[in-house]
Amino acid sequence: MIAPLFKFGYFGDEFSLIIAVLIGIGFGFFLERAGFGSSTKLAAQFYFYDMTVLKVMFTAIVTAMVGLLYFGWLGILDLTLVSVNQTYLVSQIVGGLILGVGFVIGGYCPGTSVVACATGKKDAMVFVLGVLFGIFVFGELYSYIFEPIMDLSAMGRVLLPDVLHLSYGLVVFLVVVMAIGAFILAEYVEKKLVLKKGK
Amino acid sequence: MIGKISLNKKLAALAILLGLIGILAGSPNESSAGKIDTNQLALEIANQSNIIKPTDLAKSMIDGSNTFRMVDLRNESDFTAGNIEGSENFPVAQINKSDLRRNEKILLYSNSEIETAQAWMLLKSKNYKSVYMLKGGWTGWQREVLGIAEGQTAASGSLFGSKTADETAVAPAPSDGIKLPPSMPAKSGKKKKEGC
Repeated sequence: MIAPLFKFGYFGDEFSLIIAVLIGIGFGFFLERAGFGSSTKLAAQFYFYDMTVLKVMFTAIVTAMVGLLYFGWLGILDLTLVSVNQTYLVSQIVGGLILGVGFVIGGYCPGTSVVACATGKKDAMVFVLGVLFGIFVFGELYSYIFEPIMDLSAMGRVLLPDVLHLSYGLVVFLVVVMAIGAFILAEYVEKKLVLKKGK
Repeated sequence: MIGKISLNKKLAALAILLGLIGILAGSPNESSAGKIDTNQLALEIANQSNIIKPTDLAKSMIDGSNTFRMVDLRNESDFTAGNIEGSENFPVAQINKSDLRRNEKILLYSNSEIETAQAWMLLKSKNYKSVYMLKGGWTGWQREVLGIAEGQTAASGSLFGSKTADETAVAPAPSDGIKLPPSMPAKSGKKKKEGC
């Protein structure tokens, strides 16, 4: 057997939905356990009091990246069949900034808002309504407004090793080093700010 | 000693180590090593389920149900002289560098059935899931579908197999009476949008 299992037809659309639900529950559970069901904890990231978001995200990136590298290398996974979202550089920078502003104001990102909803947070429920409204407007206007704009900077499937002309393994190593550097910096900043607050 | 180091530091060290080995490991995409499930291969060979008859292929091309990605293993000059319409040329030495995907239905043909069978084994050992061979190869296609006897050139009267042939020419009657349309509809690639 070789992954991605769905792409090789080991199971069909229906069963993939069941798997999606299971993975989704697992994802939500661990987000909640990491403390991401609380808007105060999430918002603290932007004031550098609590760098949990950065640490969790970078840990997830490093874990998945190392896993993909070695599974690919061992022949268990065909990396060329792993879905990679297309790159739309300008649109994604603009969209990222908008999402970031929403994150700071609302205290949630789309995924964590659903997690917080599940634990009964009212602010998160309002946030989700906003997200759904945004999705609706985006979807309705997609072909009229957003698609033409997005196409301007469409770059297709872009991977760092190709762009940087480095080997895949070297990119993995550099990202690991970057992540650990970020962890050290994050801990340092957290300590400084806690001391400043006189705690 | 090791017990005194925090879990975080151990994990960080592990990540660095795996990253370092990763540099040496090389590309996860270009591994030339392969592994085979010999039982499954033996079954496929015994059932001959990996062999496609030229007439079956022609029929599926006519009714538009052909889902094979057809790969011509011959050299470039043979390929340009005449090939099965819609096929791509990957001479056998370059098959490792082809952009064939492991989940595609691939149909191999060549002048030599031995070469085709070897390429089949090569792809199967690299975990390509559905690889098939055209019975009789290019000569089988010429004989059974285009109605060209061995020795004749493909360009002599084929409208279906050879791209160099005149599209309006009338094909010699195929041996089992298959009528071939002058041009095949291009295979429309179904592409699902995916993402998170």
